[in-house]
Amino acid sequence: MKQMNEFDNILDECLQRLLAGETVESCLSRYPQHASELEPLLRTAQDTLKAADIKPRPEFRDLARRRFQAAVREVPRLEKRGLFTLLRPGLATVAIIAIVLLAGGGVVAAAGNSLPGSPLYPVKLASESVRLALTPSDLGKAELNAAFADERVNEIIRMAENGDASLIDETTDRMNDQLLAVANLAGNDKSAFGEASFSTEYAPSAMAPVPTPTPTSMPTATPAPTRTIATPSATPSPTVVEPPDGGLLEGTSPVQEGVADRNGAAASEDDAEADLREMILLQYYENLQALREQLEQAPPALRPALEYAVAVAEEAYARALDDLFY
Amino acid sequence: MQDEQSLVRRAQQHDEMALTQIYEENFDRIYRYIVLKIGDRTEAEDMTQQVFLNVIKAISSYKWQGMPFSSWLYRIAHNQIVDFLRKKSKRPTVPIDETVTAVGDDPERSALGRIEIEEVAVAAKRLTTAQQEVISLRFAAELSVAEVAEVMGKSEGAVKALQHSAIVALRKALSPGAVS
Repeated sequence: MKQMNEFDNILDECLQRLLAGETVESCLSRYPQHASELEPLLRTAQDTLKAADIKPRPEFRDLARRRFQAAVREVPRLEKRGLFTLLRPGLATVAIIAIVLLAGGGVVAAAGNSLPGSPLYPVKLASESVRLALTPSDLGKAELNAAFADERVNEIIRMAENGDASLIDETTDRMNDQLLAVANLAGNDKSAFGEASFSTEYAPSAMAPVPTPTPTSMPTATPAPTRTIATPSATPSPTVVEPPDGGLLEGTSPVQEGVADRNGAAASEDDAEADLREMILLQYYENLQALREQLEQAPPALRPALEYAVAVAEEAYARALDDLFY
Repeated sequence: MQDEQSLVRRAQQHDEMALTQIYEENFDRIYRYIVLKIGDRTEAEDMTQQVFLNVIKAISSYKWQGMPFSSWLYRIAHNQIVDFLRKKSKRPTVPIDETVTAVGDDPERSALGRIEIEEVAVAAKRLTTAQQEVISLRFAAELSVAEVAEVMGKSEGAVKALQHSAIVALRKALSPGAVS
């Protein structure tokens, strides 16, 4: 046992030396009496150390660092929010409504064009919260969140045009939260959204990829999404079916109409759901293109924030679409 | 140790610089540790990111008990891996063993004498859980024996003995024809 312990200690010392950059030969020369037993173990250890000498992809490192820093910034902000988080949800809604009413319709309207950092911007966010609070259905909330995420993209582009990168990351994170809410609302209550009964025009396999601005494609620092979600090459047109008499009718077949009559409410819900899918697909297509164009022409100081916005938007829209389609 | 304690205290107060320092000093090592445990670099990237997001959430509840802070970090990473493997076992995926070639099966790679981390991960599946943990913590995370002992809740002597048996087992598992 003592001999075994001694060998364990020698092996460990040699491993420590390998970790510090010494060679196997150098270790063996220190313990010639154990060399035959040590050598195969140290060779395996060295091979394993070499194999383990890997690093994550640089583009992933950059994205992960920015997400980490955004999360660090978010923590104190959550703690400082205080007022509304201390109130019960119902009271918080009433308080927000009161603030918006007290602020007056003109102020709310003016706040609609405000950008992050402006004095009116909190009013804009509060009015969005009120609209969400007053919307009972999950589908309605998902539509609103999608519209608010769209507005966040507009804000990012306007801030970039103004040359102000200071609040782009924060706005990007807010957009991500809103698209996550769309995904969650879709995922939490599939019955409210119906099953994925979309026509083939919407199927990912039938979609063309979002074009990137010419002449260059995606910036090198922008990581590839974990999954490619593509968009339709054009706005989907209504389904065209051929009736028995050979003429072409636009819309649903007689059989489909019968089903629709029996399920009037369900059909209307399906329509609303299809509208939401189309809205998010168009947003995905247009917003990604707009953000990439902005990135193409951005000065170096703005590029990191816009690269982050592009990467997050791509992933967040893909996630929302994923939950709406499947 | 005192410097580390002070760094962790500042991080607990959500000092951005302290949290960033912890992140920068540990990110690559945690990544390598996860890759060696699961054998999938892409999944490991997502999981590494999640480990550090969990650190931000949980650091205020961390209690300094004289042990290296890294032992707490690797416990978080370990929990993340356990959670991943549990979820993975519930969904049909290509088993890791079928995704890589064994060293001995690839003449070109064998000739070069170079093995990849995925191959080590496959071979490590033949080791006991404790042996796998020692290999990951010593060779991927590059922790000292004392730190590994803290993470695993064992004595340094026990870790050294485990390390010895783990390398012997790994050598056997990596030998040509051992992995199919």
